[in-house]
Amino acid sequence: MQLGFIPGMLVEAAHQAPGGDPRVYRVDGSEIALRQETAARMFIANELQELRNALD
Amino acid sequence: MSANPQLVQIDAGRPRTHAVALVGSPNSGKSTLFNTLTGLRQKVANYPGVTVESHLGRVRFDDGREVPIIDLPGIYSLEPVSEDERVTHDVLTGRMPEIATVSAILLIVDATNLARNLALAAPILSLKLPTLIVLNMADDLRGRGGTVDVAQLEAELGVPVALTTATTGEGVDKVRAFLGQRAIPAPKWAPLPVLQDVPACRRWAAQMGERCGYRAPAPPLWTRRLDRAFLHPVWGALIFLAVTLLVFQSIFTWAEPAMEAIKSLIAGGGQWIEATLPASALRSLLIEGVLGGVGAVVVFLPQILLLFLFIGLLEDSGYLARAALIADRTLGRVGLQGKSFIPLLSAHACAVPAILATRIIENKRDRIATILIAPLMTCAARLPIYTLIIGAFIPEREVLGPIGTRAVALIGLYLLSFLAAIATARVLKSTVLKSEASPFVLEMPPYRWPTWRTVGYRLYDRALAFLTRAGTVILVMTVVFWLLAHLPMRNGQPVPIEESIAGQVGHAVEPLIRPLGFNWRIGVGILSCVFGAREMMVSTLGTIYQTEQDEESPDLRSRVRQDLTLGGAWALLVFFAFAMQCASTVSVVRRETGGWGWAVAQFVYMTVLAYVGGYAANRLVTWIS
Repeated sequence: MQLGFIPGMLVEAAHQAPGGDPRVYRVDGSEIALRQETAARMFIANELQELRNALD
Repeated sequence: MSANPQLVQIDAGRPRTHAVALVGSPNSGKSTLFNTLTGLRQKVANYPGVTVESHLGRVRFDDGREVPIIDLPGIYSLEPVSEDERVTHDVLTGRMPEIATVSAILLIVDATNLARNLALAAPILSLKLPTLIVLNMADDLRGRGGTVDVAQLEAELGVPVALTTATTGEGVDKVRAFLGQRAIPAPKWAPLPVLQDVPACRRWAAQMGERCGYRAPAPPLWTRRLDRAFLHPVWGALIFLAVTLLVFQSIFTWAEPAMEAIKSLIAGGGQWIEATLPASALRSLLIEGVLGGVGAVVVFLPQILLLFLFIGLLEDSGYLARAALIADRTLGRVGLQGKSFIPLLSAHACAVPAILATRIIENKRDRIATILIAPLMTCAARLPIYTLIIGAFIPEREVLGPIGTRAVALIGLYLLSFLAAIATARVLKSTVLKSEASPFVLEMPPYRWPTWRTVGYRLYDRALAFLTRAGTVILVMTVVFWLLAHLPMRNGQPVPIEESIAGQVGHAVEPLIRPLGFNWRIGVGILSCVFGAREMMVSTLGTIYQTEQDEESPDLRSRVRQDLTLGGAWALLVFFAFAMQCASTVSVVRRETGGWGWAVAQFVYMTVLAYVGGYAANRLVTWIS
């Protein structure tokens, strides 16, 4: 959480390690690598999806 | 200690060390600032009972005054979750007065991401200690178009703020001025968020940033460009392999001239002593014991320095984090993780620094598994005996281009050790050290040019530690072993080595090691390794053959060939690949795992593996030939 994964923060997926896992995420101005199993434990909403829902 | 009132008394009477604490997150340039401030007036401090290493140093002023300063472990928060955080927390709150009583704090913050990193200021300021906030990496901030109003930030936080670039020394004057004050003023009152509420701290930090006109720098373009290559699915993997091979290549080929130079220096010293001193026990002790034993260890200095040079360059440039990322998947298959890569790479030079390097692994079980397999990696100390035996028993024939049979044998031994380590890790991680899928969280710092100053300090530190060990522990051990090899005296003359204490012990263990094809001389050699380090094997065999005065074949290589069967030679190679014959490693494992349990288990495991492996090799080779 201290690394920037806090509610309301924008998370952007960046590079993958060769083989696809772990992956680097851009969050709160820095790049953090997480394994898929760790990343899967976070609840992330899709920005675009939310925008569409709001428009509907 | 409270059980012994006298000890407490002495402790209380001793003046406590007041020190300024250096606090900050990893990658904030904390250690660089520490080195810039203290120069070489520093020493590594190991905390009693905890597995965290830190540096104590002194900042000297023109009027001769010195201010002690302590570099605490890098942390992201002050909540005592990890070992590093607990130590930092306890020192700052005065729970570890035996280390230092903190009189003031320097909080280092990476200025290129102020909104996130300033969040650590909230718990630090709540301690109400005199504090200076150091916004580091000012050059990066400016270079990428960011700004911050330092005076405004001082007003908002109620403490002084300095803007620095630790690598160039920019702005460090203000830090020195802060430390040089006779009485450092306590912070003015400023509103702080609820500390347990991480989002609130983060919002507070962002608010502080906004109020002091902080403009975040543009994303690091070069880092993104470089990562496109270094983390490319194909190129990234190839670059990773190339870098790893380069490190290996350098350890073996580039270190060679320097090692040869040290060897000839030692040989020259021996000849000089032989020429100046009359034949006596003292001369023999100096040449065989001190020069032979300590010299055998000092020869490895170039290799160790080269390894640390590479690791330092890779770490400071930011590539090491990418390497850990790339290695994670492969190491994950055997239950380890990417952060194990750095220790396992270092272990190819020496297991001791490798075990210290496991401190970056937060997951305790992953860390212990890495510590347990690190000494199986082929360290530099095994090379002399490998070279001797391979040279003596394997005829050089071309296999593929410039690679000959001897190189293939050497590569085979590396592979054997590596596979044994991987298999051990797999077994450990699926049994006693089984853990929940460990969260792998690793920050990718932007790439930076490493500076010679920071890398240089580190090399100096390592060289000093290594030479100190060679000059103290190893020196004592070699002298003790030399005595065992020459005592008891008979008619004022030392007995032949076969009848000495060491020789008798060698004969006593001979039945035990005969199944492996070893005789008592090999037994004495192996015992000498227990006293010092593996590199003692060759010098001990040299001493034994020399004192036996076999004039016909003075060459060590041909003596070994006469002394061992082919099966015994292979058994010796396999034995050395697996056996834990290094007192330094055992002691560092005990310290880092917090007790004898793992250290003893590891020693027993490796010894059994070495014995069984050596036996199998002896039988197999004897049966084939």
